[in-house]
Amino acid sequence: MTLIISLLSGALVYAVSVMYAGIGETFSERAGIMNLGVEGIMLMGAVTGYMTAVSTQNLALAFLVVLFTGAVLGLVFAFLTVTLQSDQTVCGMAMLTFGTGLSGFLGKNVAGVAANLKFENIAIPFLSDIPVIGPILFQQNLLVYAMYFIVPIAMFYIYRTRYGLKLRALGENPAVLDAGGENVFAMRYGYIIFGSVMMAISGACVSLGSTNFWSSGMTAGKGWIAFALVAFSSWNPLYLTLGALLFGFISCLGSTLQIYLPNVPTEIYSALPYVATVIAFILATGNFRKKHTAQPESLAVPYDRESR
Amino acid sequence: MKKKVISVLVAATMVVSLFTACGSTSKDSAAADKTKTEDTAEASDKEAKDVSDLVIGEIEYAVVEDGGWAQAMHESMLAACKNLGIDTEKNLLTAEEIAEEDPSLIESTIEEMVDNGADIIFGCSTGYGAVLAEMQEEYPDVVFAQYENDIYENVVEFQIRGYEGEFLAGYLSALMNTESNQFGFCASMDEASVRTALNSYALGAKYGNPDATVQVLWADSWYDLDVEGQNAKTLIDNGIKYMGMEASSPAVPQTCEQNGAFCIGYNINMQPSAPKAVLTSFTWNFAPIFEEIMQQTADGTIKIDTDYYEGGDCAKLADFNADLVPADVQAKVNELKDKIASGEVSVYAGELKDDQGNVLVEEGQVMSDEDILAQDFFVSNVTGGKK
Amino acid sequence: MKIKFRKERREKQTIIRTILTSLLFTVLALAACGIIIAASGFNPIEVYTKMISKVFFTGRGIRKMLDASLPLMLCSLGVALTFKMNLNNIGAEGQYAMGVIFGGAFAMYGPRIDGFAGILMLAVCCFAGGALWALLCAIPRALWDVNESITTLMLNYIALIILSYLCLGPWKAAGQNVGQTEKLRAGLELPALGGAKVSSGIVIGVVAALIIYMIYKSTTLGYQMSVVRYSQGAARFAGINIKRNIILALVISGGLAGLAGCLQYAGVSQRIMEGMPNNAGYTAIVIAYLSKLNPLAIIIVSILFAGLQNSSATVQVMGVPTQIATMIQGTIMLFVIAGDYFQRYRLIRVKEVES
Repeated sequence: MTLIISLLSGALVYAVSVMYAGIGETFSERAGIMNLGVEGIMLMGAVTGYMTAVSTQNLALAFLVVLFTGAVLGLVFAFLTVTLQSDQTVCGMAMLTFGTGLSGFLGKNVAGVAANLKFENIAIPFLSDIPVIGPILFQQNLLVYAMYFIVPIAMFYIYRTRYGLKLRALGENPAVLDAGGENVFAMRYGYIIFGSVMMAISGACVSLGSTNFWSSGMTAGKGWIAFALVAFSSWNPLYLTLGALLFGFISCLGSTLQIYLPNVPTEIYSALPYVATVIAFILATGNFRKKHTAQPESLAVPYDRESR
Repeated sequence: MKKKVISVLVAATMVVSLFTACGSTSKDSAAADKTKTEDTAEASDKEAKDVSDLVIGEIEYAVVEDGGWAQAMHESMLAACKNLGIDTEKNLLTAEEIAEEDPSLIESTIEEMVDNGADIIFGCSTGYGAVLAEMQEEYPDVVFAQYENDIYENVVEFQIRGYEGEFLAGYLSALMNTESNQFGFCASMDEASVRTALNSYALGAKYGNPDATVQVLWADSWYDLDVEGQNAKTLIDNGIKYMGMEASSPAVPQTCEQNGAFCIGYNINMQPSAPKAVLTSFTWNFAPIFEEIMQQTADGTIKIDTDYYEGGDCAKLADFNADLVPADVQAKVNELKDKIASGEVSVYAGELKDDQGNVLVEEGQVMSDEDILAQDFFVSNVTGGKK
Repeated sequence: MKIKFRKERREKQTIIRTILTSLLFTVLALAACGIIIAASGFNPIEVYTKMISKVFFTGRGIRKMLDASLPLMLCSLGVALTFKMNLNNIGAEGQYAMGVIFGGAFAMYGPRIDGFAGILMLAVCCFAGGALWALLCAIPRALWDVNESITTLMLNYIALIILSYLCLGPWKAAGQNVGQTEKLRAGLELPALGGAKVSSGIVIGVVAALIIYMIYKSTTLGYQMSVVRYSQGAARFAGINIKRNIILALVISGGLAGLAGCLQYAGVSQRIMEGMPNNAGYTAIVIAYLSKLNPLAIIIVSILFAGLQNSSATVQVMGVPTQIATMIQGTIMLFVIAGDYFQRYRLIRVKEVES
């Protein structure tokens, strides 16, 4: 039983650390902007948060700095992709390279320095005493708890509000919104910045959440996983949650399987999450009968009033 | 067609603009070049030179603050330079993130270092050997030193008997773990150096507790916080309270700390990252070897086929965590350390069996250095070794 | 009175303007990086001078640059081919790895044929490896409309795990402690270009680019691809077999990435190493876009990119931290992309009287 609890709680912690970035990317892509720089922004969030934690020993301040970093990077990305209508793929890759370099540079002085300050696990009274579910869901840190609210709010926002309707239109056909008197540019700016802030929080999950240190390039590919999960989830936060949990669960499963199924090359366990994701993705999104696609129609297409 | 012309030109202008930027300052560069040639001329004139004048090149695969291997190497390098009075600001040329898979970049780095007057170039990760050996032929005046190469005769080889320190780590764990015979080990990838760490940890544990078994879990990655942490967690969930590690991040120590388990850090002193879990750390100390290579290079007495293979203080444990490790345990570990140094205890002594039951070393024999270095076995008390 | 700007689309793009804009933005990028360099305590002019003179003006620098450009060039040609059809192949990294694996299998277990025939067979194996890996994504994409960017990305990880398993396990060179195979036998090595010490792979790279350029310009396939790019509906109407084109583009693209592995293996490294693609597949995406998917531009841009990456050695030996070298790469990308805007539009100042 402890094993199952440990597996699921490991999966949950992993899932949350990519879900912030995933939900950020979902909003960004729903608005028609593909941000490939997730990993770079995550690293920047991780390093600035950790630096603040080391120098001020103030967690709230560190978190604010993370938000601020995300916002600034989002603003830059929005300027390039919305105002200058630059190619989103290259912008994303440039953001990735730039963020990786800058975060490593900034973090030189805090690499190996212990902050001893992070989002500690807090057991919620009563709820954490429920067998099985309690230890999995209610002995986590604040960033995980916040996610319990963010997913339903995001779902509600996208599918049940007027703003969500506009957001979906923004990614499908911005010209219609523009004709309706909406400020397409401002909206895209907003969603890019929001997305970028969420990615930065994902970084904080790594440096101030599940582990508590900084080292250059520490997110080690999480940004790409988040990016992949967004399309995996058909731009739906609920499916994103399921996808992230599945991925996290299978990654964690490898450790346990090494003990209970010892005669298999362990590389198979490392490859398992990716194999499972590909297969699940093909099964979930392949249109074996009917024609449909959930991808926003105008994803990665710069909006230009004159050429509409 | 137009598009093509344009894009070719975009690229071309990038070059042109780079050139213009350079043209405006050609004076500076000429001056810089001149001083450089003077430097190198001076270097080749003299046979012996003062050790503090040496120019050292250091090639690392990661950044030197990686919290792991590269950091241990770099700290050793700084210590060696400091002891010999070498100005690390001026005369230590460090190149980081030089991918072992990128021969062009390695060669560019070496040539750049030679151009800057490097007398010795240290390849601080296993994968540079082939390129270094090739470049040595091109630059016979420069000393090339490579970590862990068993193939190239024209390159100085240096490595450390890390198994001595890991043996002590295993022994310490066994002394601390009075409740169970089970130990854990979080390993990165299946490479000889990693097997060495694992096997000697297991042998150390066995030395302290004849019934000790070590369960290993592999991350199959050189760096993956989530998998490393989850491996540690899985070991703990299986009732293991003491574990060793061969991994580059503090994910294992921090997971232990959160779950009330204990571990031995690796590469560098990891106590600051998890003060309630790290008993001590196995650390690499290359400084004495580096000093010797540097000194001999300066004296002109170095032989390029030398192999340095040191134990003792090079493969030591960091300071014990005094809050966790009682004084008598510390004393016992130190006692064993002395016994290894005096040759009374030998880590890979017979009779030694592998995990399949085959005899590796006969009773009364000791394993040869070659076999220790290229370990392709797991000792008998390791469970979960690769097949 | 306020000053406002209004943008206006440029009717035609002249060559001179393109040169000037790119020039301006490259200089701006270098200036911006100069601030960073100066802030970290170095003289930017000195750094740039060294960097540029070493990489672009010494025989050695040029040789290394050309060698390093090979995998970038081939991968980039491949991904550009798919981008041309609005397919996102992010899988060059994995296809490269798979190409190397197939090539390695041929070199180790295949018939011992040396010389031209041997190298040709090695190349075919590498191509097949990459193509097969891409085919795994091409089929779901063509038949069931499964987004290829996710499948190709995920297959990267899988291919790299297989590569590292082989290099650390069954293929590890005897006596080596590191994840590398034995050296490729001399009979399969690509010869160096006479006296220049540059791998003859560069010729193959350039020829590949020319062939692809020809395909774009003067074959039905090229024409059909461009139709599919702009409108799937029109393509279907014109009776173009979209499924076949999708599969073909992805397979050729994967094959080219596999060929990149061949050039690196037989031409430069001579060994297969764990983690061998070393991000070439991802850098290729940037190069493809910066070259506007034009095969001829890709040749030049990938050579420049290789030079930029190699310059990190020069910069670091001067004492500038490696992270700055990485940042310079990112900044140059950002500025050159931003500069593209001013090639497309002109800003006109509008005077407006406040009411």
